[in-house]
Amino acid sequence: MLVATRITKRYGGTTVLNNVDFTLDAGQVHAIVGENGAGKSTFVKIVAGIVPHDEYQGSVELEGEPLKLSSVHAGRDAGVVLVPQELHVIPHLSIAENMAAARLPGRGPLYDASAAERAARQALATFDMKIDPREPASKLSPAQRRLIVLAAALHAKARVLIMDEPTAALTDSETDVLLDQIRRCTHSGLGIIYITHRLDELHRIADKVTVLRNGQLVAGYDSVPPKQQLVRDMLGETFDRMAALSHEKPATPTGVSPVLDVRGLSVFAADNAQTPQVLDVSLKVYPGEIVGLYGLVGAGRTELARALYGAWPGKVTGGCMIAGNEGLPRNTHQAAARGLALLAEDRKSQGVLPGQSVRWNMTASKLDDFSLGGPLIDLATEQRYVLDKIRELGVRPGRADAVMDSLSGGNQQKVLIARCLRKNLKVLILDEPTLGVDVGARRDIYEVLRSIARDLQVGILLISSDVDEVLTEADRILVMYKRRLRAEFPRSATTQELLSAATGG
Amino acid sequence: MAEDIQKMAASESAGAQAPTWSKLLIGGIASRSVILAIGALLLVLYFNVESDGGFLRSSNIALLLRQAAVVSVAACGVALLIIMGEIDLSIGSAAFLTGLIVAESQVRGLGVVGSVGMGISAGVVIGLAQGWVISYLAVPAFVVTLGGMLLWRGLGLTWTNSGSIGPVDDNFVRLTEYSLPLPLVIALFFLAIGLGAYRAYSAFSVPGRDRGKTMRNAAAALMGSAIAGFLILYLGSTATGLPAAVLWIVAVSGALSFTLARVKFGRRAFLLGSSYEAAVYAGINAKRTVLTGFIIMGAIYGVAGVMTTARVGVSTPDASFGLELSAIAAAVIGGNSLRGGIGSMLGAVLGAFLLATIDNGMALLNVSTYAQNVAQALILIVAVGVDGFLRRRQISR
Repeated sequence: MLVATRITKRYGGTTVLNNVDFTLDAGQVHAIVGENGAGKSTFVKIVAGIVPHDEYQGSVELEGEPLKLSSVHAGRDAGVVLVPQELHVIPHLSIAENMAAARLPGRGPLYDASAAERAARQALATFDMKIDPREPASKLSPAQRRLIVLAAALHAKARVLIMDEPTAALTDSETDVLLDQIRRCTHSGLGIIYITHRLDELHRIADKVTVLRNGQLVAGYDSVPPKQQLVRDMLGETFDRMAALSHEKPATPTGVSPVLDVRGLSVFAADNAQTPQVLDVSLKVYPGEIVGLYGLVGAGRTELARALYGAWPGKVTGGCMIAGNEGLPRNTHQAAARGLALLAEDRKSQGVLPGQSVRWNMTASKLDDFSLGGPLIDLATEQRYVLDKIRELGVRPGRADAVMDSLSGGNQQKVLIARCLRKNLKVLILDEPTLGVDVGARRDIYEVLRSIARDLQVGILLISSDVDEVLTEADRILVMYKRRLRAEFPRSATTQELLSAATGG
Repeated sequence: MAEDIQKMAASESAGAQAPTWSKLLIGGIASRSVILAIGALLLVLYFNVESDGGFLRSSNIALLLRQAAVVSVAACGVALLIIMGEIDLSIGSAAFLTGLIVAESQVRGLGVVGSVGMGISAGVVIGLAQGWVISYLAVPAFVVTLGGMLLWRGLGLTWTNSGSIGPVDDNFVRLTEYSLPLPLVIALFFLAIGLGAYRAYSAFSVPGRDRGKTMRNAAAALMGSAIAGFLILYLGSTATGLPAAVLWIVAVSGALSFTLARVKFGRRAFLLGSSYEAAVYAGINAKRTVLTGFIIMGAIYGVAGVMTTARVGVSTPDASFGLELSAIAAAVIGGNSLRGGIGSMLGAVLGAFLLATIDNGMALLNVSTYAQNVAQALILIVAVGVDGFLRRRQISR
């Protein structure tokens, strides 16, 4: 149905896609996998019209007709709909308005609110969602927000649906619902291009799999191959090196005082001091250890992290000691001055400083470390530090003056982790550090975290909704469920134990 | 097919290693400062031909420098705020009030230094007040400075009952109208050449940059400093001389450029401008940074007030009227993005000079001031439009 032939795309001097061929049949799900920076996102941007047809080489045909798109709107009109990885849901508009945003119903310039509501209701019903479309979108959880965008796209009579990491932010049960819905959509002849980092999903959803590496098509499968095969394709020669990587783990420190000691912490909603988001949480993190904080979306983990970092707008009660300093930080610069750093969950709006260089992004928290006396910045030392870290963490492209926005998610995350490494760093909180990050960059990030803990004796609190991640990377695992800390496990815990604690069992 | 790929790769790497002259030229044209320079040059030629050589006469250039000076200084201040993602609509009124305080100090017999000190202190107090409300009470800068626009002029006019205050001492007038002595002219010449050489050198010393960009930057720096140096020497050696107003421009734009490039506050200003939320998450003290920016702007109100009063000789009720709009237009023409996070002092000064050139040239050709407004408006919109177009092209390529 959709045939892309010899697609080549360059940004400046770098070739991000090189002669890629791709075929999508009606009623099938064709998955594209690859590391971050492999060219997956660029490819779907070309198919969806975000990259206009005169800015790449090669051709795209839809049902025999050449598809020359000049914009996303042209793509939508042709029946090609892209659901991006990072959603743009406008919180104060209603759910119906958000769902109808791409094509508002109505006559002439008038907006027909009831038609939008009817359409939203139908779309939500096919998705088995029981929400009132007149409610503001701010009432939705991040996972629900993704579901309404998907529902709207499914409802929009698309012929080709492109989904970029749709399950990255979803819990397991939501993922199940979504995958079932996607399968059901294919019965009507819809073709789906599906990008994911979660290789486990593939056997449940995909008919065909294409593997990209560094902009090249390296493998195409007419059925889902074993996971090991895919990982080997995606990583190429680096696979052997990584497989040999052993997982040494230091013993939990004893006889030292904790760097982070939280006692009876409660966090309340910004607009309502009666609604708790976190209730009575007590935890300790010791220098040199990685403590996993596992819980499903909405358990209160992000709220806890923001409260500890002084970035929560609402009321916070309870005791907290950071590196010997008693009391909760009142704002983020106070938290930073006490030796606490937070890698925020929302990389796009709370991490990346758009339009600025990798250098400025990496040292945004660290300017005091490059002091030339008084208020002056020691630019030479700063540049050396940035180049060192780029090399050490394997950031691509390896230039300090590259614009941050042009980096892939995994590389951005590496830069942001380097930003956290202030000289006074004692406690590092990471909120979903590997969300939307590919296998290779994930390994790099885990290695870096381990060395931060071991070499700098920093206490790390690793917040994650990925069971495998906390099981393999944490020395100790805490589980949150419905705003409370429910259980603590040693690292020998099993997936079943964690899951049952996180779901209230 | 494999051969094709090899060929492609070969031609590509060759292209990356040796940028051809045509590529350099196209890349050079695609930069805002070059477009501004070419546009300004064409304008200057046009005005000069039409006015039978009157435009480039040394007396007229000295006049143009004086006219451009206050807007340049104010544009530098507002560029700093724009880079931070803030805005200031109160510049004209605040500069009027500080200029009034300066004139009043003069009338009451304070010396030159005392009067300048009074003006700048008053400006800092105004900036502190506005900045505190904006940062710590979290009222948008647009609203606060819109209020300030009414408030500061209103206060001044109430105080003087909308009269003129003056005249100021002759020594005070010399602050901007005095012709610089030759040694100072020569020092300025070497400063311009030295800065150009330094910028060209540092363009090359950045490792891992692409060569085309490096050469363009170096060439632009050298050419710009050569032109500036020539103008300084030429004007300084004529009977009219180089007006002291130039020193104010050099001092303010130089200090602020240095702050942006080398001082932590300057870096934080850029970071806040590109994303307030992300900057706060990086542990930056956003409120203090914003407050500092408005205090610096306050000092610039003081400088602008001093310069205006020195140039006119008295404080008039309509002094600095509309200065904020000229300053914002100059900053934006000079590439300071109203979205924040992008900009430079050099751009703001060049923008101010372009506006002053149009003003001066059209006045010379006896075009009405209303038509001058039309021309300035078109320049503003075209400059920003062309820039946005080029920027999109660069990103997508």
